[in-house]
Amino acid sequence: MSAESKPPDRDYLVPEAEVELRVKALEALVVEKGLVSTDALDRISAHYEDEVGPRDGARVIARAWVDPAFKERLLADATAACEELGIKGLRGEHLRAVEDTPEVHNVVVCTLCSCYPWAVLGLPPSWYKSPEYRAKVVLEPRRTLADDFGFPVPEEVTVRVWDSNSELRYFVIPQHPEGTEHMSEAELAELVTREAMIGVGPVTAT
Amino acid sequence: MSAPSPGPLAPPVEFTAPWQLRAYVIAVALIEQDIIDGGALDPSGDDALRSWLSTVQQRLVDQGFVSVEELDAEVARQVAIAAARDVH
Repeated sequence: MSAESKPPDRDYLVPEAEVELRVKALEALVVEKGLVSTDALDRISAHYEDEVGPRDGARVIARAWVDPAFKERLLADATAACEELGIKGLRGEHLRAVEDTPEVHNVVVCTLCSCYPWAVLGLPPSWYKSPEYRAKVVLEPRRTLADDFGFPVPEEVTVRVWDSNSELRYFVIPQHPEGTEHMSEAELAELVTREAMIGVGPVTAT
Repeated sequence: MSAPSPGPLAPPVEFTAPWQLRAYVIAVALIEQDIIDGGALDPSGDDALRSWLSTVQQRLVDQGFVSVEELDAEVARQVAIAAARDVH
């Protein structure tokens, strides 16, 4: 940190190692001052790592599979429908759900950067923001899915690519897998993967 | 305190280093305590968490929770700890 008597400004050129030390220093101080507890920090960290993330999106998908009225609301206004399940975006971003059908398969990308529906999918995979994925899936979606993800989409199925941005973020409602009609909503949610909600992987009834 | 709701916890970027998750967790904890207004944090971008870190520090100083001198001293202490660790 600068020796001058002012807090650091938005200096994006600060080396990574120094930023790391700043974070450690800040954590030590906020705990020492009693502003937050170590337990609270650990709880939030664990909550994020273990619970926030694709599990929320999976709950949404499972609900859509078992509740046609909810699916209709989800397709009409995904932001509002997710809020029904207590899922909200931090910045009021708009969510849009796109539904896979026997005729259409959807896949999501952000060609500009890495816009992603954090509130429902949690951490984006590292490949999601890679230039290779962002370019290839737009130009050759079918080939990208088959070659890079081992997820071939039959020729008779149309592949639609949705380009997320900072204001509108897409996620996929995969097809309800056959043979799972007997499963509960919670059991169905366990089948739903992050990759399936991006559209680069299947949901299988294993 | 009960478990935090997932919504306000949405992070701004993909974490690529441990400090990013920790910076994010500190910010969220301070938001939960109504010490920091989440709306003051820049929404996104690759440098969002650096921006969050700066904003959090600034807010804590502005509100008198910590002083710049305390921050500087603690950073210096962390530098010393890291240096000692590197020696060994």
